[in-house]
Parts: sequence; structure tokens; C-alpha cells
Amino acid sequence: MVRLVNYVALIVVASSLAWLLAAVTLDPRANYAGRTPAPPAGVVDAALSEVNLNDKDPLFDRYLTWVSGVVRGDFGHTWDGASVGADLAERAGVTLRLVTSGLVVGALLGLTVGTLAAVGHRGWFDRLSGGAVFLLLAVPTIVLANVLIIGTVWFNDTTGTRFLMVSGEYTSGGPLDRLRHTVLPALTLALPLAAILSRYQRSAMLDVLDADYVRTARAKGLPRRKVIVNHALRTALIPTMTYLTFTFGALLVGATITETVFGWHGLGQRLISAIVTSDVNTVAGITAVAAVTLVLCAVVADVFQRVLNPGRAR
Amino acid sequence: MIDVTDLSVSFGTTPAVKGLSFSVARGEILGLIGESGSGKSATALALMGLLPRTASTSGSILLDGEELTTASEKRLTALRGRAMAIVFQDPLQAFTPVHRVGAQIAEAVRVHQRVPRKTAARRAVELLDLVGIRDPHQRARAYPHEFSGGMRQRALIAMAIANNPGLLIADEPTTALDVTVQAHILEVLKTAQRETGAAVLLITHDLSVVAKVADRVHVMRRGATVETGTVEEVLRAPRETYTKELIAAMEAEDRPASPRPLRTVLEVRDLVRHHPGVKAVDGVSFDLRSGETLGLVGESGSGKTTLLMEIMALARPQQGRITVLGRDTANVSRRDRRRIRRDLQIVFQDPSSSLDPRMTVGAIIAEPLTTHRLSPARVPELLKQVGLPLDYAARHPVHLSGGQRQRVAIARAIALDPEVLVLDEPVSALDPTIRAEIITLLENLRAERGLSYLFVAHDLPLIRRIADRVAVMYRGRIAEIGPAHQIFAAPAHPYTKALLRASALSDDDPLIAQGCRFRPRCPLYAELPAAPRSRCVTEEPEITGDSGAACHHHPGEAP
Repeated sequence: MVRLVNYVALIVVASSLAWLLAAVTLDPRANYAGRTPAPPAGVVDAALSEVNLNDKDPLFDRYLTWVSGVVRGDFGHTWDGASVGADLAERAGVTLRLVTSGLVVGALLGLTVGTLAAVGHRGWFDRLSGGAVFLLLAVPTIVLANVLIIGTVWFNDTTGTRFLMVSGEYTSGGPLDRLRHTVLPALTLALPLAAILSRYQRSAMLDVLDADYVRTARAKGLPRRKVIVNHALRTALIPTMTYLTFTFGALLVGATITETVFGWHGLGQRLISAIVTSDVNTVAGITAVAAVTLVLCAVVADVFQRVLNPGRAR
Repeated sequence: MIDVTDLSVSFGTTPAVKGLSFSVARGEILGLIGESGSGKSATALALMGLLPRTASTSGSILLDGEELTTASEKRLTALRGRAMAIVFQDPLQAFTPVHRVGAQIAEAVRVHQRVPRKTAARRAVELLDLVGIRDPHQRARAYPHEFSGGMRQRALIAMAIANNPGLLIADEPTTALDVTVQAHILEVLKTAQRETGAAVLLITHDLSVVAKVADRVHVMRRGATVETGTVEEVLRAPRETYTKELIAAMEAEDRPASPRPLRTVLEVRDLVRHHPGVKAVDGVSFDLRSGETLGLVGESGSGKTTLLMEIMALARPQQGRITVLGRDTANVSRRDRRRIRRDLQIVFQDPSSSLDPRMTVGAIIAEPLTTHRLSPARVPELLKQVGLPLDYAARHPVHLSGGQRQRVAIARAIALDPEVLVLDEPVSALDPTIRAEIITLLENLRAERGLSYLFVAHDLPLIRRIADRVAVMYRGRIAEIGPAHQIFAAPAHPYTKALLRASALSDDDPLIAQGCRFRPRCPLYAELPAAPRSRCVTEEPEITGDSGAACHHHPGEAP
């Protein structure tokens, strides 16, 4: 219960600070600056006041207007009058699909590679995967995304098929079509994630593979595979899963480049464009979504800990 | 049952075991004894086929006529846990922390026997019962960290005998345990051996353990055999110098009794330190006089370390009073506290973790001096005093042996010429012969510098040798305190008696809210008639004066 109150307070503080920071630094008036003929100052003021973006209105009044809207589920409007809530809801869905698929693929890949690398410590797989990891980490996302696109285009051209799509979120709709569009952006997110995660997992595994209880498990005659899965991997997952859960929160608004390159209209992309057009309400709205997600991640991480590490007092 | 001939194990170019030969017959207990680094554990792992891949083995290991050194990993996996089993030394880590104890034992059953899950679980409960775990049904569902050290060790034995192995290896099964629990575990090991008829290889550095349970003993040093024979022969008439040294290290001589010095350097009155849910220190009083050594003994969890940390904090205690060199720690200024610290220094148990691995030995010893704005020019002199060569100042702790590291820790502690040295198990991480050297060093320093020691140890012969006075702690209180010779010759408290005889006391018992906290384990209480008993239930016994026992019924106390 105390934790719940803390979480709510965290969300309130984070979104309020984001709104305040955006309201103080951003200048929605600039959107009218380049117009010819210049609209009369009174009209601009009225238009801005209409969407609660007028810097001539007292800051505190604007804040109250914003808060009372948010409490009713209304996140306000952009400078040109579009509803922030509707926009974000749609974009959140897009990002959620992208990030979830990227995270699942990345997690499975990273955990598998990390575990195998630790089991074959200093063997060929360890060295090979280590090299691949550093290569992936050294390559910026934008390069990785374009390499994937070029590779796919080349593949499509040579084989004459068009299985994987390189742009957009869907063409005709339908699950298969969406999947074909998802593969490349998901991989763009998954590969660097898997790279980092595999190193975490590798070192977590190396720690437990030397542990006394792994030796005990071998001493009772368990086959190697069972020792590794039931005793070593099971324990090594505890720290890695916490890391993974919080990655989700970070990716939700941090997949900007991937979204942009593949033309997915998600949250990260919107955050940048909102800052460009000085849409205070959108910026604050996205921050609120991010705060809620992060809190949910904390809850999920806690659940994972309870499942993976039972019997422990917290 | 097991026949080892000319076994050699080496890690890279470092030999661990050199030409070792021994055999253990069915139903026999062989004690394999030696210090750490003598190759005992490498031998155990070699028998189990659990050596790391970097190790190379030669010679022959015959288990029931089957050669193990050349056996395939698959064959070894089939033999492990069924034909041969091992009980590892228990630091919490021997069980996988995330699985229930019962499940882990049942797993051992199911690897080798095709039985349904339920049957295996039932067998696990039976095994826990066999090794003396109370309430085995419920305990089987507990996680390893919910077990005490003694219970975990029992559970490990239960797991090892799950498939009635022909060979049972016990690697330091009692080392991590308190004396009163050790006796229990050895009993359990004997029971297990009787039940399974196994050949037992008991690996330990503790001669007294071997003396209690083994039939024959095999003394090892630096990977090679020193001496072998029946326990009687070897302990009564050792032929080799090394064996004699080991035996001498086990036996204690008393420190001569002398009148107490007058000046009090450390005084603790009714000290209380409660953590949420734990009364770690619950009303402790004692004093330490100039040049005196007070030995503090008690099992793990008795509050010894908390007591030391309360003293070292030099702050206002939760309740009670601590006076260091005449100054009450509750109201000293920050500056005075620094000043008092110079006179009150500490040496910790594990020198490998108490010394910063990134600093050189010289820097470690110089640090207290520079902190108190003194010249570090004394470092060479200090090194000499603790018996280390001067060129060690440039080395890092990793390049030192355990004994040398503890010498560094001592040099650091005496750098500021303290009056009082707190020693928290300063030699328990060291091997017996090294231990004797460090104790001699501490004795010499005490004589040269007139130091007062507050000496915490669970090793009673050691306390007997070094302490003038002894305080026995039990569950946050002092059970008995007095002159060492008196405590050892005529212990008054039933707990002290049990400790000294290393006799078995139950190891899982409830906390007591009122009356004598020792009564659930007390052998005396168990035999008392109802009338005198009631006093134990209602009234907490107190010690009055500077010596005595917290027991309503000891001989010195009116019944």
C-alpha cells in the first residue's frame, strides 16, 4: 500500500516537473512567427490561450488547467488544436508492439548467447560471440538499421520475393503483413539489446558456475545440462531479469531512431517532433506515459524477483 | 571399497597431490588430515571426478574395482551421488538458494532412482528425519537460508546418503560450525555411516574431529603423505615432527593466574543493541583492565560481533554505557572521538577482505599514521615488529599468504600505539601452524607494549592459552564471566560446561522472551524438579560483580 502511494507520487511529480520544464522553456508562439502575412497578436494570443499554451497567461493557472484536464483523462491539445490523448494512445500502441517484439527477441537471443558463452568459457563460441557483441555495440543504431534495410532489399531483389518490408508499419493490415513489417525494426532494437544482455548474462553465469551449489548439484550425479539449467541459469536469471525489465521502460520513448528510419509513428519520434513544435502538452503527456511505464516495470521486476527468488524477505 | 594408488593431481605446473596412496574399506572411517593447501580437497574432488578441466591427474583410483581416472564423464555422472557421494563444507552456498531443501534432496533421489515425484519427496522427508531435523515435513519446504548452519550441514548429509552410496566423502563437515553443533554433526555422520554401511573418507584439518570418529588417520602435508596408522597409534605416539606439531597445536597450556591490574581501559555497562526483531546485544557488562586479555566466546549469532561494533562505533549506545580510557562514548566531541580511536584499534577475522587489494602493504600500514597527521616513517619499524621483511612494503596483499596478511593487519592496528586492541577471530581463517605463529606474535606484542586485548574466538584452547579472563556469550547476554583458569577448570554455567566438553546441544530452538534464555537447551533445566524450575521460567538470571555465571542453579548460587 505504501509502495502504491509512492508510485503514484512518483508519477505525479515526474509529469508535473516535465510539464513545468516544457512550459517554461518551450515557445509555442514561434509556430506563428514565420507567417506572411503575420497574424495579429490578439488572434495568436486567443489561439494559444484556447489550447492552454499562451505564455502570457499566468504559469500557475495554466498548470491548474493542465492538471484538471489530466485528472479527467484529457491530456490537452497541440498548438494546432489536435487532441494529445488520442494521438498518444495510437502512438503508444505502435511503440508498444515494436518494443515488445524487440525486447522478446533481444532477451531470448541475449540470454541464450550469454549462457552458452559462459558455459563454454574461453572457448570458440565465447570468443566469437564476444567479438560480435563488441561489433554490434560499436555500430550506431542508424547504421545497423540501414545495413539491415540494404541487406533485405538486396535479398528481395536477388530472390525476387518481397517477404520482409523495409518501411512503414503495415500496408494492407492483417497479422502476417504486420509481422513482415515488424521483423526489421524489431531486429534493430533486439540486436544491440541482446549484445549488452548477453554480456550481463555471461558474467552472471560465470559467477554462479563457480558456486558451491553448482558443484553440489554435479556431485549428486545430475547430468551437465540439468545442472546448468536448473541450478546455474535459474539463479543467474535473477539479476539479469531486473536489468531487462527496466530496459523496457527506457526503450519506450528511446526507440526514436528505429522508429524514424522504418517510418513507424511511435512515441520516441513524437517526443522529438513535439519539442520542435513546442507542444508542451504532448511533451508532458509522453513523459507521463514514460513514468507510468517505468513504475509498471518496477512492479513487474518485483514480481519476477518474487517468482525467481522465493522465500526471501524483501 | 576405495583404493587410491599413487594419485597425483596438478593444476598447470603446480602440484596439489603427490603420489598419494590409501584405501578405505566398507564400514570404515578414514580421517584425512592436513592444513589448507595440503591437497585434501583436491583429493576429494579427484575421487568424485569433479576437478576443473585445468587439472591433470595420474595414478589410479579404484572404486569397488572400477577405475575412475579413465572413466568417461557419462559413467562418472552415473556413479556420482549413487556409488559415491560427498558432503561439502557448508557455507550457505552448498544448496542452490532458489530451490527448497526438500526438493533438492528429492532431486538427488530421482537422478538415480526411477520413482515418482511424490515418492522422492517422501524419501527426502525421511532422510531429513534420519539426520535429526526436527519437524522434517515442514522443514523440507523451507529454503536453504531459512536453515541454520548446523541444519544445512545435516541436510547435506541427508542428500549425500539419499542413494545409499558405497563411499561417503565428508570434506570439512564441521569446520563452519559451532562446537556444540559440531558434536551433533559428527553423531549424524556416524549414524549415516551405520545406516548405509559406507566407507567414509573424513577430510578435516581438526585432529579432535578425527579423534572422535575415525578408525584410521592419514596425515597429509603439501600434497604428500606424512604419516598413516590407526587413530590410537598416530595420536598417542606420532612418529613425524609435523604430526607432533599438529597435536601440540591442539593441546593448550594455561596462562598463569595473576591479580587483576587496577587501571580500567574499557568498561561496558548494561549495553543494549536491538535490531528490528533481533536482540543482538541485550544487557552486557564487563570491564577490561590495562594489560589484560579478555577472551570473548560464544556461538555464531550470540552477539559477539555486534558487541564489538558497538564498542568500535564510539557513539551513544541504544542503552547502557561504554567507557573507553575513562571517557564515556555517549558524550565525546568528534575530535575526541578521533583521539580515542588512536587508542582503540581492531584486527578483523579475514585478512583477505579487510585489506584494500589496490593498496600496497606500505600504504596500508601508513594510512592510520597519515590520517592522524603522523609521519609514515615508522612503517619499516612496524613491519619488523610483526616479522615481515622490509621489501614487503611495496607488495600488494594478493601476493601475501594468509598469515602474512594478518601480520599486515596487526601492523596497521598497532601503528598508532593503541592501548586496546580488539581482535575479532584473528586466526580462525588460518592454518593451525600459522595460527600458532600469529598467536606468538600477539603474545610478544602484548608483553612488549602492555596492550590490552579484547579477543573474540570460538576456539577454546586458543582462548585458554591467551586470555586472562573469559566471558561466555549466549544470545546477546553474558552467560558466565571470570578468570580463565577458573572458567576452564570449574565452569559454573551449564552452557559453558557444554561448550568446554563440546557436548551436543540442540541446534534449532525457540527464542525465549522471559526468564532464562538458555533453558530450552539447558541440560540442567531438563532434570530439575518443578519448584526450582519455575524460577528459570520467570526470572532472568543476572551476574553481580566482575565474575560469575548467569544461572539460578549453579553451585555458587543459593538454590
